[in-house]
Amino acid sequence: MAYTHRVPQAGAVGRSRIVAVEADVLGYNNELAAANRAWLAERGILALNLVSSPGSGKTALLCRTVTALMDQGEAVAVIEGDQQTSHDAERIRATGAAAVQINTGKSCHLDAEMVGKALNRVPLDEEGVLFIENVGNLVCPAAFDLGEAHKVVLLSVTEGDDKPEKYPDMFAAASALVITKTDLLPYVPFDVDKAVRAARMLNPDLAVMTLSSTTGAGMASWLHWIGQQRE
Amino acid sequence: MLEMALTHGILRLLEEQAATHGFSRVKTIWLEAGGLTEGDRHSLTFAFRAASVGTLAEGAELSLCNRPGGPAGLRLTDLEVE
Repeated sequence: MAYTHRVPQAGAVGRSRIVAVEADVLGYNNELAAANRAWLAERGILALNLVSSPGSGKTALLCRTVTALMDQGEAVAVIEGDQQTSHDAERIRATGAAAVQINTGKSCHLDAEMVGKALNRVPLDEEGVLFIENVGNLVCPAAFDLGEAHKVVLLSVTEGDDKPEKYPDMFAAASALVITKTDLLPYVPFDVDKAVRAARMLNPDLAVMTLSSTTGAGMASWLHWIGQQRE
Repeated sequence: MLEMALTHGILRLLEEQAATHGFSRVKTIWLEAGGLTEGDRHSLTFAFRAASVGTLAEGAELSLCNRPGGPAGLRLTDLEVE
């Protein structure tokens, strides 16, 4: 197989013919995502899709977040995506929140079909908040709509502050950027302003929050942002 | 493995189109996306060659057209079929 730069010419070419298609290659995923979105909307459930590199603190942030929301009397549930193991779902369940684990096997991202099946297993009341923790991967999950209201991208201060420049698709696809592990800022060279500037070059409307899931600093603004998405 | 998901998306569309338009073999597949890089071309071509063995598109040529400023998602525009 080789690349070709011939342009399709209408009509028959020898025994061949040209068929015009004009379809999105991930159209199947997008149809299932639309069905998930409708299912969630019928129940008044806010779904947030958390994406980041492995080790950025998605699970730690979720543990702290679901605890805070449950303390406020909110209904919450989590769908956990990982290649293997149910370690993350177990961490979430230890807070008392419901969690459904999806193992993606060889796949590097969650897709709308996997999430659609998991929705039937999520014990979540109407008007609740559903967090979907995607597979740790700053590339592929950007391309897959799961039916969520928003993608939230996490970037920890122990990573490079040039990640938005290196992995632009994810920062362009997200509605919010959460900079995590800010308690470690005194020990690392991460420049918060530089990272935020780079992310906003890609996505001027990006909401930005900085927090530490360890100390709780900054959690209030994150919880406030979640609350705003429900209005 | 995003390229595998894209490849499966392409094969799914080919099966649908084959049922609609009555063809049994695909010779050329024209695709386009905004911001396609050489890395994208390489990984998608590699994945497609691996996944299309034994399908109606085995041995098909991929024509990947970069559309600067176009949509980020990959679109299948045309097929050459028999």
